[in-house]
Amino acid sequence: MNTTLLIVIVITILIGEGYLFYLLKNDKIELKYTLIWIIGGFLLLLFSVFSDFLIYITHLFGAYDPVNFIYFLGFIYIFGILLSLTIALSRNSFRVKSLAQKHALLERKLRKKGLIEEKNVNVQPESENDRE
Amino acid sequence: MKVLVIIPAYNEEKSIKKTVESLKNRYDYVIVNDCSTDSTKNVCIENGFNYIDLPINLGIGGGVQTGYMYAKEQNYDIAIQFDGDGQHDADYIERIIEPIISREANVVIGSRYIKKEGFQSSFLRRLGITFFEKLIKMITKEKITDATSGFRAVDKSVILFFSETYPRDYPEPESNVALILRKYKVIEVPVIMNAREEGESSITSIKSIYYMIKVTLAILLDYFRYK
Repeated sequence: MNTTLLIVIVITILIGEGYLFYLLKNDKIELKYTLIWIIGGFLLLLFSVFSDFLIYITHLFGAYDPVNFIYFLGFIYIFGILLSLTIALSRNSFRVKSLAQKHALLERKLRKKGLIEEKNVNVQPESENDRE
Repeated sequence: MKVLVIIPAYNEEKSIKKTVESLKNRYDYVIVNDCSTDSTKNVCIENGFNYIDLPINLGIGGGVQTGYMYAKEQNYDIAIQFDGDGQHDADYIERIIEPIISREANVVIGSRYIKKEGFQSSFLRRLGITFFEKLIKMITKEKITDATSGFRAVDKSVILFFSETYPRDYPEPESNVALILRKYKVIEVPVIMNAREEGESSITSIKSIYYMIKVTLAILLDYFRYK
């Protein structure tokens, strides 16, 4: 890997990690989901800087060009991140449904006890964001 | 001073009754049932215990924070975290709230490791606890011998703080550091804890390593936030 590419990669990763740090510091993102991005970034940095190790791994897996191989690894890694996020999203989606249902049943109980007013709601155009 | 004992409970059907009976005539308490899959809730109903029933499982952080929100809502002056599994001894509650009443501190942690008496946890756990002691010393310059102790008393200002901000998993070390960084006075008093009687710890070995990393990073992050 030539020096220019190395510098570009390192700077890009540092900017990326810096942005992640900014998001974390200002509570815009949860540490739990950020860990995998942070680790990925540093692994990429390691592979880029210590290219001898990268070349060794490349040949071990039967590939020819280290740079291509690193793109391939990056792709697999991002695929893994996306999958883990999909799993987390699915889980959250289930929990939201569960909360909504329990909330509704609770609301009915309170309404039956006269603790919540029964009101006619003005029919308003529905926001797209509310729909499932 | 109005005192509340917060008892987070996840699947503690075997020990919750004994735990509550040991303190219900002395202190106000609330059980926070974190969507237990066993009969913890039934035990609460049958014995007329005061409990909050979470609609989804939130974990120890979410559960305990719900207790703090309840303490804020009901205007308590002091809140104590107390395990539902019988590891904590209600006789020590007096000892951990005393420095708060006398306004010596905002937070009092019941530590197993000041005098090293009673149940001292497994080797791995103690390794983790020593690690946190060193990390906290480095970040805050304060000596906290038992940062993971779930036996902790706080005053009203901290009740308000925790109802807004409280970590989700493995919350004790992170919350203690957050308090010290924000200049709350945190002290420790020695207590004796018992071995867990029934049920299982919610933290396995692999999870332990993940938690150690995550909590360390969270502590470092908070340090950079509050420097």
